[in-house]
Order: sequence, then C-alpha cells, then structure tokens
Amino acid sequence: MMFDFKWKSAWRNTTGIAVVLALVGFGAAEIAAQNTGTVTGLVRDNSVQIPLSGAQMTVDGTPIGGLVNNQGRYLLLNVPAGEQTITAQIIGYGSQTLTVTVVSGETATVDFNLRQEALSLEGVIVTGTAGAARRKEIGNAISAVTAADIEVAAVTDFGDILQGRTAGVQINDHGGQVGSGSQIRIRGNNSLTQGNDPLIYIDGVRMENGQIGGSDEAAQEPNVFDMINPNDIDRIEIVKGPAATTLYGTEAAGGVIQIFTKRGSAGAPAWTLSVDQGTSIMPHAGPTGLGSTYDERYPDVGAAGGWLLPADEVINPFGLNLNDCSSPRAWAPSGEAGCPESGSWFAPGYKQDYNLSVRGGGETATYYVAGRFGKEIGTIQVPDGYDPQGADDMQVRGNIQFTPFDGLQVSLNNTYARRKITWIPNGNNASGLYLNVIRGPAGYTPGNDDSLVLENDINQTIDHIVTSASIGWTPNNMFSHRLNVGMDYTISDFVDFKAWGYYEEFQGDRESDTQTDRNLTLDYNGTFSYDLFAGVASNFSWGGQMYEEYGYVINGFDELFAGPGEQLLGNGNNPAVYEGRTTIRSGGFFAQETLGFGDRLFLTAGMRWDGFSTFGEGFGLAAYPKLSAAYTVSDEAWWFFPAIEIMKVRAAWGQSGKAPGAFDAKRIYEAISADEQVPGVIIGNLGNADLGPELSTEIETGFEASAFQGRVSVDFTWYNQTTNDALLGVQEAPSGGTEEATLRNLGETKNWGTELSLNLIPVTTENFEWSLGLNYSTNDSEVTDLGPLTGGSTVRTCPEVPEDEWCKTHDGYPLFFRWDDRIANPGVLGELPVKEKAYLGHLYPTSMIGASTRMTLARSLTFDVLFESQRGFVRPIGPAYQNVRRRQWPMCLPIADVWYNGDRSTLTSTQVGNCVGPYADWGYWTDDASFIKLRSATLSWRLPEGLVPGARTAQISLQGKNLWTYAPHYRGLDPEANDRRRSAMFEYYNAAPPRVFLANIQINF
Amino acid sequence: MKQRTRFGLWPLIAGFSVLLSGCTLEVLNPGAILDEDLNTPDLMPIVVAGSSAELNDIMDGYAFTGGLLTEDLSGTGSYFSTGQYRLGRFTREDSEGFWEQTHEAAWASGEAWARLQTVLESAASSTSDAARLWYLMGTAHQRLGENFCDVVYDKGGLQPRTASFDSAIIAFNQAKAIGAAASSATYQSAGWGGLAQAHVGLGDWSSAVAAAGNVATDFVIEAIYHQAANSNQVYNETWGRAEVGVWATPIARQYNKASEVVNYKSTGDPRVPYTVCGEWTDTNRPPDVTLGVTPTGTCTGQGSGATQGAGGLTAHHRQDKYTERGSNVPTISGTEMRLIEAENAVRNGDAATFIAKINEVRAHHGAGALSAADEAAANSGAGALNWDNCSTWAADCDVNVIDDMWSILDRERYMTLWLEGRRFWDLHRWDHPFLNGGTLIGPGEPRRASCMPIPEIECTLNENIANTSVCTG
Repeated sequence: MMFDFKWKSAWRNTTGIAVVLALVGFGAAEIAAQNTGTVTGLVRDNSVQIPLSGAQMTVDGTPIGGLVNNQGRYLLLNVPAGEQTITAQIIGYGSQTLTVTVVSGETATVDFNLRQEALSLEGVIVTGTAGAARRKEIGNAISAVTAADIEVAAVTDFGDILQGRTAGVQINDHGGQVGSGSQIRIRGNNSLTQGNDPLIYIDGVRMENGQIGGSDEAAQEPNVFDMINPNDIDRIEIVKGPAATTLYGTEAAGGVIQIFTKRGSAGAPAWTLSVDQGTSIMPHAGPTGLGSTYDERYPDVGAAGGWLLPADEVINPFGLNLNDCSSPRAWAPSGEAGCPESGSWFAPGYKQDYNLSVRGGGETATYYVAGRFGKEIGTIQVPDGYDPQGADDMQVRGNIQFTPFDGLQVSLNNTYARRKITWIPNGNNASGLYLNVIRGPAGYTPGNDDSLVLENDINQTIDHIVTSASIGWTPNNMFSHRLNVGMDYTISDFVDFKAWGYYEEFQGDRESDTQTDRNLTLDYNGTFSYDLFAGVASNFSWGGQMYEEYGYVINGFDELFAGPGEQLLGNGNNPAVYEGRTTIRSGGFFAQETLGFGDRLFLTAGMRWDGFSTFGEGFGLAAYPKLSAAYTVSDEAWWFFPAIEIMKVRAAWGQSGKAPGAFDAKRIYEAISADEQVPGVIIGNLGNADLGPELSTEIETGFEASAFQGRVSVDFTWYNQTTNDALLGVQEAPSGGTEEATLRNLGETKNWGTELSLNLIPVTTENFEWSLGLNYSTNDSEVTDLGPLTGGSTVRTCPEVPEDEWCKTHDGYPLFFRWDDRIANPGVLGELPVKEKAYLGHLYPTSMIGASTRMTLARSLTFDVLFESQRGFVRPIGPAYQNVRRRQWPMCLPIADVWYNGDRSTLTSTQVGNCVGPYADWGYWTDDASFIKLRSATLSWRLPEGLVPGARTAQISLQGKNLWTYAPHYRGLDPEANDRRRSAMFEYYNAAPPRVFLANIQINF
Repeated sequence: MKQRTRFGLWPLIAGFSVLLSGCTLEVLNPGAILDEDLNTPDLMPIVVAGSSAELNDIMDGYAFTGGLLTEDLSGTGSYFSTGQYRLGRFTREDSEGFWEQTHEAAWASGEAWARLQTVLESAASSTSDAARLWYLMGTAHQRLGENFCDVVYDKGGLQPRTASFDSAIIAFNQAKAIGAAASSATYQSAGWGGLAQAHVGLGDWSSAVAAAGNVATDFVIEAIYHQAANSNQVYNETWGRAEVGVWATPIARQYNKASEVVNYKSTGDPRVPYTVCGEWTDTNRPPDVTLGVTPTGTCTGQGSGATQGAGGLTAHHRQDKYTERGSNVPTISGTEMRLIEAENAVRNGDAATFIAKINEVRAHHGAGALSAADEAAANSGAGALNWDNCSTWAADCDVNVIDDMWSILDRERYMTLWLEGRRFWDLHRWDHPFLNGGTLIGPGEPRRASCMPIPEIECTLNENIANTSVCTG
C-alpha cells in the first residue's frame, strides 16, 4: 500500500538517519566491539500497552538506530558504553527520550511507553487525498480511529467502533436481535432520494455499504460491514463531506470511510490469542411491577405534568408481558399459554469469541494471518425445541506484503467471513413475538399462545469475500504510483419457512431469497513531488478509477404444501419467483495540485470528472472541483502563543455527487403477471435523458490546536453543504395520465453543522494518566427548493421512510422529519381532541455528544468509559399507539377506565387523544427520543509478565456495553428500538439494544 | 536526467486514461423492457393485459375502501384508516392512490390503443383487444365519476363528475362498436352495460334503461385477480388477515342475520354469505366493549385473525363472497342492469315492473322471490329511504325499515352489488339518510363522506385547481 511506502519515505526524508535493521533473530546478534554494549526493550502504547511495531529508535549523537519489531521489541547493537540518550518515536504518538547506562559487553534494557497524540500533523492520511498526505497538508477535517481505541472499548461489531467516538458520525444502533445492522450517517443527510450511506472502502476496495438481504418477518436487516472482524482493523479514516470526498466523485456526497486492516511487520511470528466470554441482558420493558406508576418512570409527562395520568394510579403489574408472562392475569389465570418455563420471554444471552492471529516476516516480506470464531445467543428466550435467536460468525484473513525490489511494494489482502443468523419473527409483523406478547389478549395467536410464532423458521447465511492487490511503486523521491485492484463479494441465502401445520398458514409457505452483490474496483493514482522554488514544494497528483457494482437477486416463494417436513420451493402449489440483475458502472479521472509554502501553508486545487452508467444519455460527464488551504500558523517564527505548540487553520470548498438509480434515465416497461397469470406490461418509468447526479457543494473551515505539550487538543469544524440539482421524483398532475414520477434534477437542499473534538489530559505521571474526551456535533438541514413542487405542499420523495403517510418533503423543513397529527386543543377539559397536521420533529439527531474518560494506573490497569447522547429528534412509538387502540397499554389503563366507566368530562383532550383507543393517533405517540446512554465501560488489566507461562504479555478485561439509558421524554421501549433499522424511523414492537457484558483475555506470545 | 528515464509510467498512465475515456459506461440491465421494443403485433395482447392490470389494481380498492365507508364491511382491525372510514371520515390524503391509479388505468388504455393503431394500423379497429381497451378505459372513467366529488382531466380545471360519465360514454360506445366489429359478444355487452351505468350517472334514465336492455341477466364482466398475480384485497383483509369483517354490518344485523347462523355459516340470502369465526357476547356498542372472543373453530388456519378482528376488540365475521385470492370483482353485470330497470320503475311508480325485475335478480342468485310482505311494501308505493341508527350492537337490529319500493331497492342493490365498490355512489346519488348518522358514527361526528375529494397531489401539481375551494378548503 502507498501508505506504508510513503510513510517510510517520509521518515527517511525527515530524519536522515542511516537505518540499521536488526530485526530478525535476536539470538544471532553479536557484540561487535569491546567497548560497546547492547540496548533492548519494548515500545508500547502508554495506555493500552499494545506493541508499537515500526517505531523508530535512535541513539542520540550516534548513527545507531533501528525499528521496533512486530512484538514491540527493539535491539540496538554496538552502542558505545556509558550513559546514552535513546529516543523512540512513531507517527501518531509523542516521542519519548530516556537515558540508559550501557556497560561494555552487556545488555541494558529500557522500555518505552508512548502516549497517543490527539493531534499529529505529521501523521499520514490516505482517505480523501491523492495518494497520501500529511495531516498538516490537508484542508478539511479528517477523523481517525486506531487499533488502540478499538482495543480498549467494548466493541462487538464495526458500528460500535465509530459510535460516539467521532464527531459528526451517527450510528443508528442495531436492535436487540443478534445480527441486526446499524445505519451510519456522516454529517447528517444531504440527499432526499438517493440515500445517504457513506462509501466504505476496505484496503482500497469499495465494499457493500448497505444491507444484504434482510427479513421482513424479523424486521431487521444485517449489514455487510458488521462482518468485518474488529480485531483485524488497524485504523479507520473518516472523511466527512463533499469538500473532502471530491476525489471520490459521484456517490461520495455522504462521506467516505476507509478501513485499513492490520499488516505484518518484520520479526519472528508474534501470536495473539483473544477469547471473549460474555452475556447480554435485555432491560425491563414497560412498568416494573405492582404499585409502580407511570409518573415514576415518566415524571415530566405523568401526573406531575398534569395531563396523562391521575397521580398514584396503579398500573398493569406485568409490564408489557415480556418480563413476566406466567403470573395470573384476567385473560390468563394460569399465565399466558406458551410462556417459557422461566416465566419470562427474556433470558441472559451468551456470547463467545475466539480470535487467533499471527504477524511477522522478514525484510522483504511480511504477513498477517488471523481467524475468528464467534457464537452469540440473544436475549429472547425460546421454549425448548426452537432454535435460539443468535448468530454464528467465522472470519479468516491473510494479508501479505512483499518488496521484490527497492521501490516496489506489493500487498495482497484477502478475507472471507461467514455469518449465520437465526432470526425470530418480530417487529411490524402480525406473527411477530413482541407484537403478540405486548398486545396480550389482543394479539393474533390462537389461545394467546405466543410461542406458536416461533414455529416460523427464519435463517440467513451471509458469505463475504474481499480480495485485493495493491502495487505501490516509488522509483525515486519525486514519483510514486499506486494501483489497487479488488473485489468485494457478498452472498446472502435467506429462508423464511412456515411448515405445514403453522397456525397462520396451515399448509405452510416458504420464501427463499438469494442475493449477490459484487463490487469491483480498479484504482490508479500517481504523484509527482518537486520543489518549484526554495521553500515552495509542488505535489501534483492524477489518477483514475473504475467501479462496477453488480447485484443479483432471486426471490422464490411457494405455499400450500402437501404435508409436513422441511418442504422446498416447488413442493407446494403456488410457486413464484422473481429475478433481478443490475449492473452499474462508473469511471472517472482526477487531477490535483498542492503547493506547499515553507512546509506550513498548503494550497490545493483539484478536479474530478465522472461518467456513470445511470446518467442520462444526454448528460455527459460530471465535474467536481475542489479547493482547500491548510496553514500551520504555529510553525511561523512570529507565533506568539508558546503554550499552544500546534495551531493549524484550514478551509476547504468542494463538490461531490449522488448518482440516480439504475433505470431512472430510461423509459421502460415492467413485465408483470396480469389477469389470470398471463404476461402483461405496465409503465415502469417515463425516463429522463438529461438526468445527472445531484451536486453537493460544501464549504468547511476550522482549526486544529494542541497545547501544553499535547495535554489539550482541539479540533473544530464548521460546514455548510448545498445540494443542487437534487433528484426529485416529479410526477405530473395525475389527471394528466400516469402516476409514475420522473426523476429530475430540480431541488435544492442545505445541510449544515459544527463538530468539536476536545481532548484533555488533566493528570499524567509515570504511573497514572487520566484523560478526557469530548466529541460534540450539531447538524440541521432544510429543503430550500422543491422546483415545481415548491409552494408549501407536501410530496412524497423520500424512500428511506417507507411509510407513505409519514414520508413528506416540504420546503422550509428538514430533509427527513415527522409530519403527522397533533392535538390542536391540548389540555382542554371535557373536549375531544381536535387533530391537525403539523411538523413534529427531525427524524435524525440535531446534536450528538460523545463523552469519554480513560484512566491508566501503573500502565497495567486501564478504565475507559464512553457516554453518548443523541438529541433533538423524534420517534413514533408504534406499540403504544397500537396497544392503546386495543386497551392494552398499561400506562393508559387508568384513563381508559375513566373514559369507559367514569365521568368523561373529567378528562382532557390530551388524555383522551393519548389513551382512548378511537381517538388515539400516531402523532400523539410521537415523542422526543433524545437519550443519553452509557455506551461502553471497560476495565483492563495487563497481567504481570511471567504470570502466563510462555506469554510475552497478557491482558484481561471486563467490558460493558449499553449499560444505562436515560430517555426522559420517550415513552416507548427504547429510542433505538427501530423497525427495519436501516430504512425506518419508528418503533414497532422491536427489541431494544441489550446490555452486553464481556470478559476478555488476550495473550500475546 | 537519468532519473527521468525511469519515469516510464507515463505511457501506462496515458494508456489507462485512454482505456477509461474510451470505455462505454452504457449498461443494459436485464429485466427492463424498452418502449420501442413493444411495437410488435405479437405483443399487443400483452400490452392490453397490462392495461387490464392497471385497472384491476384499483378496482378491489374501491370494493375494500368503499365497503368500509358504506358498511358493506366494518373495520375491525388495526389499520388507522379503517377506523376513520368507520366513522365516515375521508380526507384528501385518503383519496391518494384512488385518483392516481384510476387516471393511470384510463391513460394506460389510451396509450395502448395508440400503440395498437401504430402497430396494427386499420386492423386495430376490429380486434377484441381494442374493444377490451375501450371497456377498460370506460370503466376507469365511470369509477372516477362514481367516486369523486369533482373531476379533472389533462391537468385542466375543475369539472363536475358528470364529465367522467361523458368520457365513459365515449369509451363504452367504442367498446360496443369495436366489439361488434370483432364479433365479441362480451365486449358488446360490456359496452352496453357500461353505457347504462354512465347514463345513470348523468340521470338519463331512458338511455340507461335502453342500454341495460341489451345486456342479459347472466352477463358479467369482472376485474380479474389471481393468487399469483394481483390478489383480491377484500379477500386478503378478511381471510388472510382479519382487518375488516361483516361483524355489526347491516348484513349481520338484518339482511342475513347473525342470529340465524347455523354451524357458524350464514343461512339467509346467498348474495351476502359469511362465516362467524369467533363469538363475542358483549352486546354493548363500542367503545364499551369487553374482551373475550371465543373461537368457533371454523376458521382455524385460515388467517392470522381467524378468531377475532385484528383490532382485538371484536369477533371476526368473515365475508365469504370472495373465497380465494383470485376471486374476481364484477364491474358490469346483467343483474345490475335489472336493478337499473327496477330503479327506473320506482321512479315511474311502476310496482309490477319493479317486483318483476327484483325477482329476476333474486332468482338469478338463488335468493327466491320477494316475500309477501315485501310485495305489499312495494305496492305501497315508492316511499322514501330511511335508516335507523341502532342504539346497540344487537345482531337483530333492523337498520332499514322495509316499507316501500325505495327501501327494497336499497336492500337489493346493497346485497346484489355487495363488496363490488358501488354502494358509495348509491349513497351519494340517493342522498341516503345513512350519511347523516349510521350506527357506527360516534357522537359529534359530522355528516359522513359520500364522495372522495380530489387528492393533495393533484392540488399541488395542477395550477388550474390549486386555488379552488376543493384544494384550499
């Protein structure tokens, strides 16, 4: 990879040291001179104690030096006897200098513990740049998460890594079913219709960034990126907006995430074994028992708020029937039929993970090989005889790098992963578990035996392969080239089977879906670096990319089987099949020039041109320009704040885009089965030959600063995006004929916000360090122009919120918001609620806070905590609304009792609207979903050396995830219990994210 | 200089650039059918079948939603809209879908007719495919007129709903004429029957009766459904789910009484069959309901809401008119023609003809002749429609007093055209007293909707009506 190559080049250039490699076979080393000795030791991260392979070691005043090997060990030979000063340094960490007394003919040992720098301007960034660039050269915000961050956090999948740790990145968390996918948003949303998922690259190869398969029955959708083994990740770079993603061209307006996996490093094989054992626990759903009141859980909306419940009303003691299904109740004197023996639908889950990796190599070739096996059983208890909800995971990876000759480096990265998920039916599904359990006697299961729904077998197996080759060639200090070729391949095999005798479909049915997604990447770029004048450096880059995205879907269905057993498609009496194949190709070029003045002021101008198979025939190429400036003012001689050792100001302007869909430009007809199953055609799309991409333009500015020897660092960004030519599905007035909308480049949207990252190290001593981190971001958006649709009307243009009733786009409002009924006459005694349509709130958070703290004691005990808050958004609460309509929402029973049996004139319009079935409304049950969660808490202890025989190092840690939730205004199960997480923004009988507890032991040998 | 000789990648870069620039990005994805590829004679039946599908797509929707608005069905489930329709509320938002799809059905037929003419040239005017297209187009126009309070064509100004009937007449005349040229008795009858419906819409009873007379009583043409193609929504929501039912409709209370059910199957008039899937004993009217539905066992395995309504508050009484996902929905029938003739007789005070026409319909459906009491009521004169706002949910509540020809006609049209999406139109054109307060109307509710307003999307996109009261009111 270019990164490694450039990195090494940079070090050569900047240090000018004659590197002495002494990495292989420490036992072979000999003392070469009588008046010299040897110095050895370990170089590790000060906090999490991971070895810092590749760190540079130097002996001051001598040409002696070397690199730290893959086990974190260095060896310096022929060091002159006497007191010597030795320095260890590596990009991203502050250097450390220690003194050691070298005795002739003997070996001295000195260990280094380097502290990670929150701001390292010399650090090399790959994402969003042509080739690679030092952070000080880049005019836009870049965030990175390193292996050290991952090491210390409670991470069970890819989404956890980013959650709360990067300003401006929102992870719409996965739900309570194991295998559920999450949704990633970077700087909110800027596209109304074309999706806002960021592009994701792994080792330079574009990978599937969306869902794969997905289950209507489970109402959850897995993500491919969650199948990446977090233990394999070396670092993640996040580029956040069009100003930074210009060189990625069309499709990059939602941001770019680059994942770099671990590489080998020279040295003997270094093995790492990591074992996780843990459990997950579902929080209590609904009221907590007899005598509890709604007021206690929701004091601001209960009696204290004066509108929902009379004070001290006793509410349903069974919560929502999930925690307790066995206690006698009116409709089930002996407890609910089908209730598990434990009396609860919840039981502690079980998670186990086994990781083994080895890395090593020689001077010309290195390797990293890793494997993982994981198995997790979820928190939803199923009676004996049913498959538990959960997932089995397996991943293997082999990364090889070799240098055939000086200047040429080849990397081969290959991974294969398999995830097998067993879902339970849930969510917006009449045969779902939560729906039937929570609705109690008003559910759909015969005899209220909700265990019957579990006879619905839902399984999904996903295979994921990524293979890539990267060739980097640097013939000299001026030229460098990189060529990436790779493929990301995913296959999902999904089966939803209801056997003969199933209560809902007595003769059974089967759905069998196969989905294949293949992404091909061909990416070349080159750089020519040259000093134009004294103090003025030029860096010219150019390149081209080609991508092909191929999707293949076969959906099969059959029903009315003749008998029991696992029947297949074709065994029934009503087979049906759907096939879809889509290929989208794109290609583009870019050129970029960066001028560096005095190695502190950098001006960059670039342009990218893109062609896309989904553009209209008359559109041609899309062009995206960019400009940026980065200025490290603290490098100036006149800098007058010595306490602030780094101050970089930056500004960037750039464009990126979003392409239309595969068929949007063409007038096409769809083949259908018409009448008595005869072929027919209907209009599919009217087409638009002039269709082009949305054009997102962003301006961002900010600064990065570090003060007090790196103990305070700040990174602030303000950004403002405008998306022109927004793609809107525009239909003519239906009276003109077809209702089909034609995608046109018409609208304009704006998206803006701020990002602040603040890191403090209040205390740092040799044996104790305490650090604090804060990531704060704001985001808001507005539809500023709807073209011919402008005029205050609502139209449907947002596919990400599939419920038509709620999917509104309105000029003057955010891109995605909730438009629904509210009570026009709230709180009026004796009146019925009068409803009116209104804006109820954003669907995405308008501010996010990630607050963390880490304490390290004696470099062996580390405590890391992360809180996350998402604020300023709403969620409709389906269970509340639907249960109220059935008189089954426990918190509303007192009001319902008054309505049905008491004096109705004592109730207010708000009480009736919320709690009396015929008057209830989705909008009345749409709540502010702002929350604070304790996302991660980890206590790690690095065991004393020698405690584990044969191990270099060993560490045990206790980790907790989602340990505490505070959502004071939300009356549902959990603000993150979303239905079909990636595509919907409401709760509908979905499992909440559980609390996870893990114990980990990691042994390095 | 020596170094420059090593920078031999320039040719490679140039080659790569040429490769990129010369590479076509055109991708023809399989599955999509291009417009020009359809201009082949052999494909004309497929084009016409597509037009049929466009109409089928909405006809069961009129039956379902229209049924909920008129007490053909009762909303016993969890859909928000069914609860509103139960109260007779129907807004501009609720109209969305009906308006667009019905217009598209008419448009698709017109597009297909144009293609037929292009491909088949003069021969197009003598094919049954063409006759069918005109029938489909006429039916789409007819449903627009029957269901919408006002109509708009070609993004123009507001027109009275009679404009749709005028368009329907043009289309049905074409269907009749081309049907004759193509020797298609089906589309000739469909043309005549459609003309009768359209003339009723215009209030031209002599033309309506004249057209109806050309349609045999046993004639029926239907919107077509199939379990593997486009399934019948009324079936899906009553057999596949229990979102709606017959529970507490006039069917169960009076016309085919629940009290006369045997073995959980209705025993009365065969035009309105249903099954009692669960028993619910509470006789209080909603919302004073108590839970406690007892399964009868007869609907086991038929659907998720086999026993109780999907709302969990009522028993499920399942309609049995459409017993398969592929059950078709009649659009024009000979029995409707006889009812048109009967209505004309009412308007003329001709009791004898009225009784004869009604009995012809009843005989066709196996319902037996009118009772002596009915005949006496008919002979008492035309009378006036009435509708009793029952105070309880008792199954034997007579919602309609049968004491004259109008009341009998009301009942007979109700039962004959049950679940065919036609009663909404009847209620409107008769200014039926049910509109002022049916049994399911809650206290303080305004008059029930009797037609669908033009939806928001038309108001938004059609500047010719945006500022009219139908859009601003």
